[in-house]
Amino acid sequence: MKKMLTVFLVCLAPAIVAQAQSRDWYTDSADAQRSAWIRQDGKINKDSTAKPGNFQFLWKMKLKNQPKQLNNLTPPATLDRLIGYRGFRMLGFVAGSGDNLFTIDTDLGRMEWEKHLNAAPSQKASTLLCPGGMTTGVVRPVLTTIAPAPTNPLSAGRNTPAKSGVGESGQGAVTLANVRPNPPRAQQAPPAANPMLVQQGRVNTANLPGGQLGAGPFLIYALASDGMLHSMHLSNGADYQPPVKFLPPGANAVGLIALDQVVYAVTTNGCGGAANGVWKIDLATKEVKTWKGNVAGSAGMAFGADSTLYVTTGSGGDKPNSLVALDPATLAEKASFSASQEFTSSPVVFSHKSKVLVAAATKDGSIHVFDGASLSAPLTSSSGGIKDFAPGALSSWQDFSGTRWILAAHNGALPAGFTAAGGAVTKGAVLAWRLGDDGKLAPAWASRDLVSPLAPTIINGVVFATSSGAFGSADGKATAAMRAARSGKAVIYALDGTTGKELWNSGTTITSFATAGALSGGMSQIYLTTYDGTIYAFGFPMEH
Amino acid sequence: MNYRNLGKVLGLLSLALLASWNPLQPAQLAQSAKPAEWLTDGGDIERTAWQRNETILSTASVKNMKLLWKTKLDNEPRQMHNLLPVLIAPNVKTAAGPKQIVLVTGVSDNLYGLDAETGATLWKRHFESDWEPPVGGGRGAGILCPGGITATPVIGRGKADGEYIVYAAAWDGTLRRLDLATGKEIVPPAKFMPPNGKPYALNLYNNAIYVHTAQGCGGNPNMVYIYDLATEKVGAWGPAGGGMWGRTGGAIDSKGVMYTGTGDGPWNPENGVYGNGIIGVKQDPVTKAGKLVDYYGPSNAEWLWKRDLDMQVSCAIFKYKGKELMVDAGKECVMYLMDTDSIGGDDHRTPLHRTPLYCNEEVNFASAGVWGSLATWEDAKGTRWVLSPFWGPKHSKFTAPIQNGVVKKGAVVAFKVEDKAGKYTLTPAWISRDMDRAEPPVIANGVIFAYGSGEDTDQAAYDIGLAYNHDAKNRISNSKKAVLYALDAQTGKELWNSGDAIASWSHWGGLSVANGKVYINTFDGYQYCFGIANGVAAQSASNAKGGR
Repeated sequence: MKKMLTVFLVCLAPAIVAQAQSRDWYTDSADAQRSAWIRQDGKINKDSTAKPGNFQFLWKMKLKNQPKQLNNLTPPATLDRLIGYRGFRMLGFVAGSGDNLFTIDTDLGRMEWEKHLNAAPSQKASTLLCPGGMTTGVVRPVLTTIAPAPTNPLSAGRNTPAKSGVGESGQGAVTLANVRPNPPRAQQAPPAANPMLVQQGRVNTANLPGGQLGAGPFLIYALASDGMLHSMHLSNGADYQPPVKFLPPGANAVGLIALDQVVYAVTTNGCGGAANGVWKIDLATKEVKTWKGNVAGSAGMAFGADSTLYVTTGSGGDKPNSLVALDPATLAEKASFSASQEFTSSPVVFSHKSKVLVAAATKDGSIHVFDGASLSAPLTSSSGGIKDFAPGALSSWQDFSGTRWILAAHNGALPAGFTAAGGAVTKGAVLAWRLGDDGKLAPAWASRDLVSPLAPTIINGVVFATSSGAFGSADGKATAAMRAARSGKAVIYALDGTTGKELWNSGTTITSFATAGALSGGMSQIYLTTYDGTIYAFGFPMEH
Repeated sequence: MNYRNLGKVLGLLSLALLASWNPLQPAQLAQSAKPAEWLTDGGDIERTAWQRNETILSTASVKNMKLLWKTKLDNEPRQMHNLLPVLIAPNVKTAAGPKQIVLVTGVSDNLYGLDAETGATLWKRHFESDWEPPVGGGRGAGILCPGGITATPVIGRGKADGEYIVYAAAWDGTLRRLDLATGKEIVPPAKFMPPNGKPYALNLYNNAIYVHTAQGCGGNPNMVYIYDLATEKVGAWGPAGGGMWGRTGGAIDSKGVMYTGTGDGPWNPENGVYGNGIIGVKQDPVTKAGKLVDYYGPSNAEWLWKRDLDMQVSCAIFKYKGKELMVDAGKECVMYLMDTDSIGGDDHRTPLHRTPLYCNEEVNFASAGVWGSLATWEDAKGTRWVLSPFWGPKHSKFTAPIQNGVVKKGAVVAFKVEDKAGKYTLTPAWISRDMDRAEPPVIANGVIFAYGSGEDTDQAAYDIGLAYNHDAKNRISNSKKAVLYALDAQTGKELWNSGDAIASWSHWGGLSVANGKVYINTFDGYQYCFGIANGVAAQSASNAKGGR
């Protein structure tokens, strides 16, 4: 039956790819732009989420994984619909720090498959900065195309209402009137090649980013602790190719991302002897390239629609305190902007009024917005006034009216210009800036008080903010065990994306703290992983 | 062939012939006429798959079954389709005297009349048409839209003994009417439905042909069509979900309502959207339009849609303690028991009874769950039985009092309909032996005939996903051989099997049974007939034991 659906979908491949981009969580912060934004959802919206008893805890699973320092499970990459050999599935792909992969049927909270990556054991001691193990999540191939912002709520397919009818005597059914004649045989083109499989310049027609239609194979990627990159069939975890050497063993990788035939990652903290910077491996040739720099932020690099790669840097290194544009093929610098202080977030890329813009935060609390085509100077910068602002990653979305929003997690009291949407803020909050018609970035709202908030996630106009409960300390002597002991419990809040007003919260459901990046979600559910190795799912109950 | 000319030539003749024929309903005939007939897919308009008038085959005699004949037909397969389930009419008045004719339908617009005694081809009719199929001949979606005839025809009986009309829906969407005795078209093709669609088995009720379509083949909507033979008007209703694709076609109740499950789609009746449910459509007696008269949506319809667990099984309708009940199922592997007075209750979401899952624990959309159709019969003690085939392993939590071995690839499960203090239930009775893709069974005289099709029913592979199903070659090369089984209808115990007599596999082949013979066909174009060589002797033995 679904075959027919598939044919229909293949015919609409470009649109489907764009839509798939906006409904799945492919990599850290969802997409190649690191927006942490799921553009549309059939169920999650302000009203449905706020309705009492509607949005709720669905399931949790304790996964068998060995934590490394404060790392345990990564947020899952998601696949809203696998038409696989075992059936239709909505899947979440979770990496465990102990070189474990977990693929969960996220409808049922049931393990679909799990796999341990046989990585060579590390000879180096694990530290807070260099924990070892898997440090970056499982990823699915993603397009750099920036999907258009939706202007209307999502509607389901196959909604044509049924009708009664009767044809005139001898004229057959009324539907005969809609039959189009076959095109003349001589003029009919041969059956079109599957548009999902043929793209100009593709080295390999397999492994199409953005979906799992076409002829496959459909893969996921994971980077093991020994620096080997694993490419696997997402339906069962079987190796597609033997693991390939990508990074030095023990490197602290973040922001793993797979594009068409290329995988990128960022390394930080000089772990495992790996130079800090951007790493790239060509899957066809297995050639590895590196750009060195003290890359800032927690989400790695972000990509423009033309695949230009943007990274920010902190202090030190060859290119300190900069926003840098790199050629995605050579990793050569295309442009850069040097700030007066270090950047403290990964960049986020978005389209706005026919331009591709890049935003990133600096340590003083400013958010700087650049034209991606020219990094010579920011188009606008928000006022700073925040000491040691270190959001790690930004999030960005656009509402149905076309207003662009930029969000960041903040520790400490509210900076000037922000008003909390719910009570006093002493520990931290999610801050939201609005990019006005005048091109200026202005404070818009701040969330309720949150403990060590994670980067927010936006789904169809609802902001999911996580009060991680993690104990934050700049004391380098505080061990992971000490930090864990002093940490509390995570709570997720759903907020109105335009006001910050609280719509829902997870209450006391979550019994540990969270340290991973933005919670992931899509297809009407959200997922949070916690330090104790548990994954939680929240959403709308569905009778099975 | 130019049918405008043919029409002129045959016009008066056909009118005269039709005027003398009274197309009675197959069900009426099955319960009254002897010897046995099988004039429509599923045996009767209620799609019970129950041959009520069988006397030769019995639990005692089936051990003597063997291959009586097999005939290779020249039909060209399309995708995985070749031959459709046969229809059987006895004592057909032919030029060579009365004959029991087996009507075989070939997907490539062919009909064959075979002699039931020998398997000899009495006639062949290929449907000519001015309509040209699209380049490539298909309907744009491969295996699921093979092109050609996809609906098992239906046979109407004339007023005089031995006269029958075959009604068939050709690839070009026209309704064809043939004399079963000769295979000749007795009237010109009539406009019926869009060409290149995918209609399912025709049904005949109250002088109207009922059919539903699915898969959007040819770009056509998925509809119910009702061809009124008296007025030549075609009523329609739809679309519904991803189509209505119960393989044995719609089942019709005593009030003339045709019921069918609907394929994938949202269940939103408030807005006229009826995916993953069951609908009942009736012909408006005045306008002849198709009218929705009842509908039922399982409470988990959203889940069914999300996991592609279509309600794609033909319903079966039967009488029980003065009520008219109906059963249906789908890929999910749950059976629903319904009252045809109100199949879903006041809220259209509450059947009389819903069984637990009996298979498809994996929640698969292919190679698991219930496919095709159901079956029902009543034994001599008045116990009403309902049968369901299923693919894949039995659900680990489902049990029946009698289990005939471990089920890995498929089986038939039998339920008893019970009235427990006014609450109707389906009580598990037995589960058959393992069958490689168990297909819809038929019942004859206390014997269940079922078969494992041997077909590779997978639609996706771990490495190439759905592309596995883009080309029939994959599935054809991985299909095996069909095996026919005879089971004791009370226990499911195996009484006989065809061993390695069948050399190929069957996709949509289906079973038919009448007069001591069981028919099955295979992808390689063979029509098989199994039965008892000395039917008369066996019949006597059976009668002596009081078999029904």
